[in-house]
Amino acid sequence: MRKVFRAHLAYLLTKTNLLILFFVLLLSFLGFSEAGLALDAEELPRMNNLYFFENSFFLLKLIAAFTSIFTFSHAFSKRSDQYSELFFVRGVSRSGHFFSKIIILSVYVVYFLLLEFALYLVSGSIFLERFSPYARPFIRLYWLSLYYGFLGLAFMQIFKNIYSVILPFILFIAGMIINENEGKFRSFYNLLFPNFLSDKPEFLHGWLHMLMLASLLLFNLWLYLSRDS
Amino acid sequence: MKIIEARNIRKSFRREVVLKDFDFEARKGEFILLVGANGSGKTTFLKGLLGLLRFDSGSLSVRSNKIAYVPERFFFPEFITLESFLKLFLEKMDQEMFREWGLSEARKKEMGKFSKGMRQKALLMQALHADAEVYVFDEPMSGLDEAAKETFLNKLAALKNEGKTVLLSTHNPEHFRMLADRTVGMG
Repeated sequence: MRKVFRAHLAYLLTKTNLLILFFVLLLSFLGFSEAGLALDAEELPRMNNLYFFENSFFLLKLIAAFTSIFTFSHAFSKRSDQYSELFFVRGVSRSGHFFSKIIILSVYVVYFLLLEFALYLVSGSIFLERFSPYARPFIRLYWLSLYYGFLGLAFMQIFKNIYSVILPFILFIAGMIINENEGKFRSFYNLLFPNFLSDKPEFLHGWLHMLMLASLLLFNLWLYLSRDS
Repeated sequence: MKIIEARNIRKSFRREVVLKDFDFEARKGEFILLVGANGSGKTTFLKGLLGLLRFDSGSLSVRSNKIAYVPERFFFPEFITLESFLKLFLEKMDQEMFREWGLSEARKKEMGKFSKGMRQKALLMQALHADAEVYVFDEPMSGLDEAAKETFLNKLAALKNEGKTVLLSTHNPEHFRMLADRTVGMG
């Protein structure tokens, strides 16, 4: 199985993926800098600290969701996953291949968010007099990114088209808008397509989202086992 | 002894029927050519045989789990050396195998810098140097120069002498006529 993990890594670190990672980090840094430059020097340091986090995190949410959706979908596209054939004929199970790849991609998203967090720390230290970082929302953002990554993967497997990544991203943005207002529809929508509440980076249904995340993972496994190579 | 037996195989993609009532069998040690025009179902049959896709109906029995495979098309990782790539699939390697394929110099080279022919050689190496009982090749000569074709034919002859079962699909059966025990026409 070690060889399978090594293959996943080799196929993940492609020129395209590394270029996308570089530009996404650059875009984030520019966004964080913009958030820092927009601060009012006359404002209380505590408030500036909060504004900086809110503005930076808004951009980061979009970037993290899109990166995760693209990474999961692209990694399981027919072309990028073709090497699985050479492992399947050697007796590696489809479910073993699937889960090992999910592990590698999930770790990749962790690294991505760690880099983003490092950029947030650097930008905060540059632009704020008394910078006090918020770390917990980044952990929640990881789960949210994973959820939309799995959702993107499900759409890609159903439509068999990499361009279907746009659908979960639209659902993600729609969730941000829907969460501006309270009501039954918001509750239902958040169950299927979770997002942070409009006033704080927390989920509406708490741990129920983890159950949905696990269900989505199993649904993806079922799709993967059913599909032809 | 029959090592592969397929009966009444049917496979369609959407409404297009690619394989219909297709029968096939291979005995241990046989060298079989699958020939046919584009779209005749050669690749579909080989993939189904390997468990990479599901037939709609029919029965299939493959009495070996030691199989090596060369797909028709393959996407290679860019930032991995030839040696690291082969290590993913082979238990052991030696200098000789790189030399006979003319890839001694390219052993530590990243595969993103490989030509089409070099990539095809790498793909053949992962299969030909595997410890298998059944070898399945789908259009294996694609992109190979004359020297590499010669090396490949010698390797196939060696497999035949060792009593391995070989299934090979091709548009150009002339290269393999001397080695093949049977030719199966498709389509």
